[in-house]
Amino acid sequence: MFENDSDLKKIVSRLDIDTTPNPDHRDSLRRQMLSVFQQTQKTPPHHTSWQTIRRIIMKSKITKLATAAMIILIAVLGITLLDNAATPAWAIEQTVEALENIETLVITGTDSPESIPFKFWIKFTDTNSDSFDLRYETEKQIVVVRGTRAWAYRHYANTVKIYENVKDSEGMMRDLRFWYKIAQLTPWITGKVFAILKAFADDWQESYRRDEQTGQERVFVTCSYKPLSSSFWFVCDVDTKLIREGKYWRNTNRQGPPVCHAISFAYNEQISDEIFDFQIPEGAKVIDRKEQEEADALFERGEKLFHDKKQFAEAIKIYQQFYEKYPDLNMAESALMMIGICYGRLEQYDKAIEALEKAVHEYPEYTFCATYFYLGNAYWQTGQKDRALEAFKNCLITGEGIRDPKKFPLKNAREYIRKLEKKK
Amino acid sequence: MVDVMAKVENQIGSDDLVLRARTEAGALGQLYEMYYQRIFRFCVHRLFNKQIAEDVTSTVFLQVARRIHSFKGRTENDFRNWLYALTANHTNAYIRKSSRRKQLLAEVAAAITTADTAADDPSGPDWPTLYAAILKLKPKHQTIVTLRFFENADFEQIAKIINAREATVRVTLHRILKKLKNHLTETVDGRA
Repeated sequence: MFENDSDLKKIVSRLDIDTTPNPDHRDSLRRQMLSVFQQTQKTPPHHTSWQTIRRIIMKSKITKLATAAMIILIAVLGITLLDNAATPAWAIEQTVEALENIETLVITGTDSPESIPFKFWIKFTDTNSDSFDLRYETEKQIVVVRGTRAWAYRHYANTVKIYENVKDSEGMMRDLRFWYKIAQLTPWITGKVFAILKAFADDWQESYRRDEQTGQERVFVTCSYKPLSSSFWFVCDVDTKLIREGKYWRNTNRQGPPVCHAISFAYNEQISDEIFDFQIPEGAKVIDRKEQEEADALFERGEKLFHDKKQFAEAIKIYQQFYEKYPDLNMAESALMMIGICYGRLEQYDKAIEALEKAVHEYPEYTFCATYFYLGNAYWQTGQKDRALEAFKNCLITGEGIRDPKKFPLKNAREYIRKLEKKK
Repeated sequence: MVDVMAKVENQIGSDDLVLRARTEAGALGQLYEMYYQRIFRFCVHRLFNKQIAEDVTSTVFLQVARRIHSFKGRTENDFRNWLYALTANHTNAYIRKSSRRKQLLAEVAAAITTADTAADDPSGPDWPTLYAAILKLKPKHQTIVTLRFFENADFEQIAKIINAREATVRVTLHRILKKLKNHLTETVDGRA
């Protein structure tokens, strides 16, 4: 029958249960739901009338006296506060407004985990903020958007992806989409993100002091956002309301080095148009959109077999096909990792090790910390404790500052390391 | 950094959607599209019958429409947990009514009778057999089994949905698996 949790999961994964919904039901329920919603919006919640409240207060001497005392206290406090009230030196809304007048922006900083320097340029090409050119560059990659055309180049693979219409590109590389969307809202980490953070962040704190180097008054803000285990620090200039520096951590208490440190912001500088010209490097392989879409679709097939149908042997064939056909795409590393995971599910640990070691050796710059975790697990299962320990330690190193230390795989890797070091 | 920040941006977008859904029909519609399939699938796993699953799914989303304006949660996770809690309550309520329970069991029995050699499959029971065994558990335990094995929820999520401590869920699941195994053994032996 089954002995444990995993056995039952395997049984369930092999069941043939038809959960296909009826599209007519889906559509008609949506209409009904929105209709009920509109009705609810029209009917305001029941309010207790002032007459009812007055009746309650006037019923007894005690409530009358208590209410009178409250009114006097509020009046006194109100007068005192009005005297002391001062216009706040800075409010986040002012930064949002100030950012709307920016035409060019250059940010320099460092990306973790290796503190790789980055530079980011953006230039709005007309008063309509939807139209802009941008360039994001590190030693590993270059992303350029010029009008509606975009290029994404990866140094290690010497590949270039070209997007003819960046606004329509569903399969746009994630980092391009991220920077493009950020630029679309208005220059970098815009008011929208800050306004949401202020509304929902935990422990938002502002402090004012003079910058020692420039002598200018600055506001220093720190906050955290628990749903994403993130924390932030940024500095705004009180006079111009513009952001001057920012840091981001992948934990909620700003521990350790930040994932990203935006060190300097330069607003409305002259930027030469040549910055946004992209020359395809010699010998680079150009991956066109069609090929990228085919690659995405193939990977997606593997994902469906793995996640939805739990057909691991079939999934291996698809991921293997992906790796052989698109070895230059960084997702090839993911394909090798998934092959390793599938073999692990099939308890063929030697083959799992082979695939995961290949991922680590062929894509050292893009190896996920999860790849190391699964490698460690495979070594553990085959009794190779020293190699398992090394792999789990590599998991912690590659995941530091990127993954939440309290969750998979870092938490699990630490547990394995504890067990392995105890046995020594 | 960019992958992580993209996730930040996406998560903030999703959380923003939940807040906007309190007053904007468009945002509520988007949440509906995101969750309809999952909730329907959960109902099928709990109720066996697709038509009944449709009815309960309707009840759940209509309740969401009536109560979203006073929903206190701030994030997509909060919304998801609330939605699953509502669904679990409605499916349990449905099954609790003895006449409906008998109807479900009758359907399951018919399905078992017409099944081929699935029961002889050494890799495990077929769906009707497993469902019949799950139905013998307490409603709350049925919910835990469905969330854990059919929806692949982790213990933390299950704990939030059924309003229990995570440690309690782990221990309870261990006991549930023992009972489920006994029920399945009885069912298979009974048919043999």
